[in-house]
Amino acid sequence: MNVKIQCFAQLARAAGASEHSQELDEGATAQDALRAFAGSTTAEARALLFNEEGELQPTILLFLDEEPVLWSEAKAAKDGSALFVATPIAGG
Amino acid sequence: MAELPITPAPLTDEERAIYEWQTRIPDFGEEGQERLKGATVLVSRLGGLGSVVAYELAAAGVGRLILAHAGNVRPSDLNRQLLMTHEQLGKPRIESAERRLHDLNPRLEIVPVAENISEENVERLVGEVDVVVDCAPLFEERFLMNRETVRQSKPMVECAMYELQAQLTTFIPGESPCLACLFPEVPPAWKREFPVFGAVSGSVGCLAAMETIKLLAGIGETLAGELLTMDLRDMVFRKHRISRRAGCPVCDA
Repeated sequence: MNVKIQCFAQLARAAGASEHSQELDEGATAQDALRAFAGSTTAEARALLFNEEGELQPTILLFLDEEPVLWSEAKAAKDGSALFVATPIAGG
Repeated sequence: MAELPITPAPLTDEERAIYEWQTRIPDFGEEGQERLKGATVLVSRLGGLGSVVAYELAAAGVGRLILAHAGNVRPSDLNRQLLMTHEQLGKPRIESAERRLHDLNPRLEIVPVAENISEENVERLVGEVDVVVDCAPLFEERFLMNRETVRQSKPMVECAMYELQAQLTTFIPGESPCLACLFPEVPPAWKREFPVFGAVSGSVGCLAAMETIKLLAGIGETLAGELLTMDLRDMVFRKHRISRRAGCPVCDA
């Protein structure tokens, strides 16, 4: 199945584009989609998402089809789902 | 949310004439205008976001603004900080802001604070206002305002931008998540300086001002419980549901 990865803010810049297509096995979760994306994107984008121990950076916001995703709770994706991934931003 | 405890201030004939186009809005009317006049709002930092927020609130007739921003006007401010002017380069930002706002609305009461939000001033400043608008560049300042607005049970409009993208939400203590629910720690990758157009900060600044006006007047639906993200590169706007985080040390302590 296919899940769209929608990158927001610094992540879009680091990954080179705001939208990416990720092929996944049936039954994959939002967490699987993000790990697969991290494995195929740039090192800069990967470092924004995961620390050196491979843990998700706690300030990353994840939404699957506009609904919030808690990293600790597997959330099933479906073919055509969109995983929105946001790095934190502020003002200035 | 419950209506904010604002004492409406009666309008003068001059004010009735100035605000005629917005008092025609049926659920706003003169009553809403009197609530704006009786209200006080804190805008933290007057950069690309806060300049536009303060300008729109001044234009709408909010009675009193507390404006906090340290430092002097720099050339690199002028692409987006619309309260700063070329002739004010090298002079205090807060003076430039005060002058521009009074040119627009001489009736506006401004409390200029030539410093940024800190542990020393946050409790007092939040205590004086009905709504806080968070336009700060540093998460340390944002977290201070978040903690204090939750403690004092006051709404905070939260806006941010980066490149051609921006986001907006409204935190209402007891009803919506707070900033610490979304970001449990200072983001390690966030940098004080970043690329952005003034038209992007201005766009989200206008929307943040509208959220504030709705809160003060008690009209419409705010973004409490939702995060609006916008990508002005392709004009995609999305609303995402956001939830309170169990065990949040600020709002679920």
